[in-house]
Amino acid sequence: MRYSNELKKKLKKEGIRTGDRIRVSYKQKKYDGILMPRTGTDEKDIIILKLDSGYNIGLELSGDFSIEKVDSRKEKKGHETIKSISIEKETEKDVAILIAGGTIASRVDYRTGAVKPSVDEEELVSFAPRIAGIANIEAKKIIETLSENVSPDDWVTIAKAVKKEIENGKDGVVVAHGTDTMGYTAAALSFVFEDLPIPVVLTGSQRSSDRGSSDSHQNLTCAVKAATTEVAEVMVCMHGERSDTFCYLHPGTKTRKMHTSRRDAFRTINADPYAKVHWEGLGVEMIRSDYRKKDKKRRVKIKEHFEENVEMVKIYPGMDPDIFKKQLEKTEGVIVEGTGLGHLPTNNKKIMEALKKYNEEENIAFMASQCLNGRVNMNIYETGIDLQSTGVIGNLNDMLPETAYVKLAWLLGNYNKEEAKDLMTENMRGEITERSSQTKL
Amino acid sequence: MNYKKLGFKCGIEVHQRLDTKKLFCNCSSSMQEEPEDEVVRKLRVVPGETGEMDPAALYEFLRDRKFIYKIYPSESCEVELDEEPPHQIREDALEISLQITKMLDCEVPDEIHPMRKTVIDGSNPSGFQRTMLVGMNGTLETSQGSVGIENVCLEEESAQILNREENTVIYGLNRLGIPLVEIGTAPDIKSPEHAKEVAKSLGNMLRATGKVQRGIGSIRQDVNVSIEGGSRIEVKGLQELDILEDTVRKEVERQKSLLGIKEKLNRRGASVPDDVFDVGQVFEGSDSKFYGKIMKDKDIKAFILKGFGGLLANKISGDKTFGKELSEYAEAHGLGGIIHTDEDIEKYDLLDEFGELKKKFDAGKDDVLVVAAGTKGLDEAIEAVKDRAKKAMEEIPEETRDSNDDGTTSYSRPLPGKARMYPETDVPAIRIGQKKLETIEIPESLEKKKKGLVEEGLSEHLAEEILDSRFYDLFRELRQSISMDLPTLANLLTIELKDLKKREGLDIEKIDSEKLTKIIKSIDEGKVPKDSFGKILEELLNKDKDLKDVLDKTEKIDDKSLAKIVKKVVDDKEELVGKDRAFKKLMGLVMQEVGGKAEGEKVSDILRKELDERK
Repeated sequence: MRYSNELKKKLKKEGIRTGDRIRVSYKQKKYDGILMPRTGTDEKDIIILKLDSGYNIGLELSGDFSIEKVDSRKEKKGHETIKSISIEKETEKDVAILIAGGTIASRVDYRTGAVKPSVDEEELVSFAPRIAGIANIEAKKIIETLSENVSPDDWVTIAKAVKKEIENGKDGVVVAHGTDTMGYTAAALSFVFEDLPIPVVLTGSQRSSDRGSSDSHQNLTCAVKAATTEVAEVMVCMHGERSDTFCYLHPGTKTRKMHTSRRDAFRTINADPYAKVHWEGLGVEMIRSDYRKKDKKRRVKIKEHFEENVEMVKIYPGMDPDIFKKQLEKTEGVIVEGTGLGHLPTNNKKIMEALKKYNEEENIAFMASQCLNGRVNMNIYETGIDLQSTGVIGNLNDMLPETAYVKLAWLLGNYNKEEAKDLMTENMRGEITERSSQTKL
Repeated sequence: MNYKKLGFKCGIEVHQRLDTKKLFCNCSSSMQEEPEDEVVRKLRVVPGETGEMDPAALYEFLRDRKFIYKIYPSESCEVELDEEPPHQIREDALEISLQITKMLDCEVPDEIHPMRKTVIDGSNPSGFQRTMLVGMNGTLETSQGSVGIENVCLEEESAQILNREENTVIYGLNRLGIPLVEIGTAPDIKSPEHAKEVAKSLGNMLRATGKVQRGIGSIRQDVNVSIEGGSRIEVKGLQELDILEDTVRKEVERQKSLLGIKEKLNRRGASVPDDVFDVGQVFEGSDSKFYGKIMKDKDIKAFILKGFGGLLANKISGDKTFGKELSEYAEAHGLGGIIHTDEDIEKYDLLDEFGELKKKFDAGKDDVLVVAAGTKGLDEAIEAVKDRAKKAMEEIPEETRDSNDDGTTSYSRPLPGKARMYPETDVPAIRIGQKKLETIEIPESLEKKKKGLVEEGLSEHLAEEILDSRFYDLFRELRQSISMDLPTLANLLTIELKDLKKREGLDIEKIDSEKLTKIIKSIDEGKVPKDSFGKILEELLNKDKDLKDVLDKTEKIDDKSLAKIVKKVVDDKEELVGKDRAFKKLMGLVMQEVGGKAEGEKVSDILRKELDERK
């Protein structure tokens, strides 16, 4: 609470707490209502009152005013949820939902309107009552954070939790995650698991669950459905278009958030999604057939270390070579996010020298393109050829820069440098495609 | 009728769209475009702020509907689709709402807090409407004493229904998000006439700001009515003041009648038995055309209302019967209605079938047998009708009703509860300092404005027309810069335009202030004749021509050339000179020749001179 001292004292003297019904008299006027928690602004003399009409107003209490308690806060059950609608089970499959934070796992505090990452297991299931008809659900909270705060350590926590569920014999695992960095986590999980035996589906929401229009229930329901399929891959399940019609199952190493707020923000880049899950009837429409088939008997193998000293550097006109140099310091590997086919200002001696030195010191530099769509090819222009002479490796093909960053960190965490260098340009988890057949940008 | 004795209580809410861009995005509010695309959504019910589910919201959810939203090129964007957070609040809309609070002597909060009001009927893709309280505790002076103003709110207009199909509602997003000012009065209104006066007075006040939209649907009223022993009924969406008055009167009539029915039912010891019977067989093979068209291939069920006999035929407001009142609950669940034995069963050609049913279920003279047919939702519909019949013995249910043109109302949905508002955290609270309030000016009232215009030479009618015109601002701007007299200017902008619409079918909605300014300035500077105003607009709107070309083409003929033309025409028709009605005939010929490029008055002067010379 950030009230002024005077106001704080008065509230304390009257024994008034947030949620109490109070009467305020000032400027010859009287207002009755419930004291709401202070949010947002820095104004310290303003209290927020919820009037009987339901509206909140802010009143500036300084100078001459009085405030009295009319009634104590009514302790209500925190929140009511719609009970699961029991539907006859279509399968006897077991799906675990691991809650790793984000908007989908957030609840609006209806008093303050603030979104808090605090949903509990039961509540999450209640957001999407239909999932009870798809599988036996077991939900667990594993991390409580918004996705902008997710770190490589969290990837490891999630990976271990997923492993445990696989060992428990689940048919599929859903990970509820924030959308900002979901693409990174999906890539990380893709690399951690070798020969994944069952589907692992990440899902999230772009619109908070308090809204009637939230995308959370469709995404979660379709994700649970996806977890019961035969597609034993790490996938991202999010809205396919602005309508509430279907979700796409994007490949974990090929997906990226391409819009700040729209529900169809996630796109598969340089490949096709595995499938569509239709909202009505929950039919799964396969788009690809080149996926790993589910086999619960396959033993789960994980390599879960991520090297910390890996960087991602974006190239832009006018960049300061000294800062570029600084960014390379103390790292063992770097993903350079170049322009076009995989370029950077080769006429800048300082940058070229820095890269050369970097390679001579046995570090690894790879080139990805900030175009996102298309392949890196450093043989087309002379500048690209010059760049290769510094030791920058450009055959990452059509790998997304973010995926490349996660892969490099993972390789350096689990293999020696030579192996990492070789594996980096090899397709391990669908991160590199052989043919460019995608028709739509 | 003595409304005071009846314990009449009435308050109204006026909703007025403002003439600015949208409240939380940069879209146009003009509603002129055709949709270019659509998006399909399903809404979901969410627990309200206090954790209780709003009954109105739950009702809508249970109807499990699909919503199609039409998208417009420049009149909707990702904000309306709830694909992008709201932008900052539109400053001029806020200022207009503050003007209104000043006119109504309201208290303005030191900080205005935008809220989310849960709406799940699909009229807002987000599932809530943004609204904020900008004023409270004001007063309006009326002929019957002062009426309290409980609140003035600034909110988003909802999307409008374009079409309904089974389980699907189609909305246009062009209306969604237009700033809307809502003024709610205290229940201080004393009679139906008074309700009309208050609504009119608030409407005039809003128009006096000069910043409100005009035309159909731009202002709407809701009324709340109750009488002693009755219940609060909210009637929504009234657009005509005369209907408003009639509606209030008929709602009082309805509540009085329902109280009378309640008394009779209790006296008779009426009841609503639980049993509902499947009666499909009884109708099977019936020759009735009605059966063939409406009931065949559907489930048919029946139930008894014990002791209700005769009452369903009672008229409770206007021509509406108690039976129709019950039927509307079935209609709200998607059924066509109900058939009951207080109706003329013969008109359905089902006398035998109903006779058999009455015997079968031992329905007496005082009982009513009700039959309903349907597939999806039949059981829910029957439960709703039975519930309503049960309530008839206890109370008048509080509810929201839709208004009809004949002043009667129809059941719409249960009255929304209070658990439906929580803070809109995507928009920061707005600090309203004393200084800001002081800069807000109270506009001159419409009455005063009119008086001023009449003093300046406008007729009362013309003054009213220009005050009601969307070109009022243009009128005020032009009068500063041109020499044309005021009545002429006002006439061009109002009556002339309306005439052109009526006479030539010109779509005058398409003309904008900028083009009008150019045309009127050309007239004022003597470049084009005033008489060609209509012709210019016609070329512009119907033939889609470029304004500059049209103006060039209509450029006035100077006096010398005009005299030459006159002389030539008279030369050609010399034989007419001195004859009967020569002037009129020649005048017509000259006008034809000049084709609107000269004022009639001028032509007449020159022609007269020419004729005088030849005498």
